Amino acid sequence: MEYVIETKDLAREFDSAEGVLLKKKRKIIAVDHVTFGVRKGELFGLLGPNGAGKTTTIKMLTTLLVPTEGDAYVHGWHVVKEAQKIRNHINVIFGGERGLYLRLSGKDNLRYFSDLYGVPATTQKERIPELLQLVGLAEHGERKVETYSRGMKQRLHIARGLINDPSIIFMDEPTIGLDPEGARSLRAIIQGLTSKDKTIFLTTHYMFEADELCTRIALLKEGKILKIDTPKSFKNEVSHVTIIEAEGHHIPRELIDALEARQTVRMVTTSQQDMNQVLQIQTEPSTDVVMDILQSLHTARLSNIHIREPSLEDAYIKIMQG
Amino acid sequence: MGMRTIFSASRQAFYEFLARPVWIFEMTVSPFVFATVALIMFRDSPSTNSTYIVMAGGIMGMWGSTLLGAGYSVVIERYFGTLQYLFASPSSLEEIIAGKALTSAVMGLWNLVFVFLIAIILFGVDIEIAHPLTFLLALGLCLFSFSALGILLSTLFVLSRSAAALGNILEFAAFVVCGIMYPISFLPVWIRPLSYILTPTWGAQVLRWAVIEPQLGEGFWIGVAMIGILSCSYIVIGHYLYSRIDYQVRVTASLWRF
Repeated sequence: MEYVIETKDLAREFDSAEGVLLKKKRKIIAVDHVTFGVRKGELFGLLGPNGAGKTTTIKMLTTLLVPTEGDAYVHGWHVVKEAQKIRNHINVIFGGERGLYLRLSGKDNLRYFSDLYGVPATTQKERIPELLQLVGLAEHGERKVETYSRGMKQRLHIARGLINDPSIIFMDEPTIGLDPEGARSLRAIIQGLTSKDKTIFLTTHYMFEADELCTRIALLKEGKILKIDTPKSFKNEVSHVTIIEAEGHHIPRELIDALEARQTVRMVTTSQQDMNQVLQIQTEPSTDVVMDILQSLHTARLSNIHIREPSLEDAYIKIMQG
Repeated sequence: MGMRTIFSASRQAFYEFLARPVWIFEMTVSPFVFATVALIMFRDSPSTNSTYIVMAGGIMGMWGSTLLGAGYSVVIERYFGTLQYLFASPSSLEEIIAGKALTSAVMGLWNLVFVFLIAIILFGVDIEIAHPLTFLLALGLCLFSFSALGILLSTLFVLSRSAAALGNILEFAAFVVCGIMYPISFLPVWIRPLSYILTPTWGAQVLRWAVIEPQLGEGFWIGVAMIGILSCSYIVIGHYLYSRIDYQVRVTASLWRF
């Protein structure tokens, strides 16, 4: 099947200077020769930790950045040589509150961007109220954007991103900083767009979001793509394990070492969650093995112990940790 | 999209200007200061035409407003994170800035009108313009040329984040270099070439002729010609620079850094 977005060995470096008077220059590789394709109508997710190169990739695909090496095509047009042609058919939404005219109303923001995208006045009259309705801002279109909540601003960004009826929408962490309710409503809007035959290219570091929305996912680490597959296939990577999670304070190093030394244990990770340390053990899905581990955790006075099925996040951690 | 983008950007800049609660002060206090400074400085000067002095204050306000609109608007767009969205759209940034410059030029014209009103009402200046129609045409020419220079200077603001610091310097340097309050013959010889390539110099010259001189002489027509030539040069150079910038900012990634 033909790709509407395609990259071939796409790479981008940045110059960075250190020091004040005697500046020392060094190169930072943000995107390191990535190759992938996105099909029409897909909701393609680019996942990775902060600094993995997700935003840089989106900026190159939306013609805002020139690649240092390699090529990228959107609708078959080259992102550098034919940038102008691409801009008419795409739109981009960056996460966060910036990027809107705060002293203007939501409607005035949309009207201005309609003009910049060459949307005819007659179409604007229908499309602007439709979009405000779609993102749940129909009642607030006349209000100044500075009075909007963060979630409302982000929804207005979605409306702005649809103003030219783009065939491809690029979204860079669109739910970042939103409360759970706001994020959920935004995800529902994004999901609804795929039924309108739009191709969506989404970056996020929320695993559940990618799992819920994306048809395919590319995992990016330090500028390199580690794997591209469906969320289901990603989860299959860890389907043969059971996850045990427990919380505690100052989990003893000896316990972690002892768990890691077990042949039945695949992986042990610890992370900080609020005031607690969370221990996660990926183990063989055998009742005896699980019971044995639970016993050792009780001895170490860990609390909130629970057993669950593997998620996309577990697959993500496994692949990221090599 | 051309004219539509220019008009839309101009309307947007106007709405934003009115949405700022301090606009009423900007439109009154700034011209008041310019008028007061100009009139007090030349109050006891017998050889100076008071109408021209008032107008010189107005020219300073016009220039400040146009520079602010064309150049500093880029800084504001960058600060609010809208610059990258403008850049991602199919409209050219040059046209968007031209639209903003247009609004600022009109605001600048208001500065001039208000300076005149203050001079008449508060200082009792008797305004006498030798060639009123020529004066209006010269004023239009000045607005056009200031906008063209503003667009050219705006390229600096797009390319460099540090250019924001130059805003005030550029505004006041023009007052000194362009001889708005005094003939440029007062300036050191080495600085005059800079005066000659800046349209506010010639703008001040043609307005002076239109206000003071009984007959429009050679100096007036040289001024008109220079404004025309320089403004067209600014537009051509600005257009070339913007076409280069379109690529350059994508290489340097300077668009979204503030």
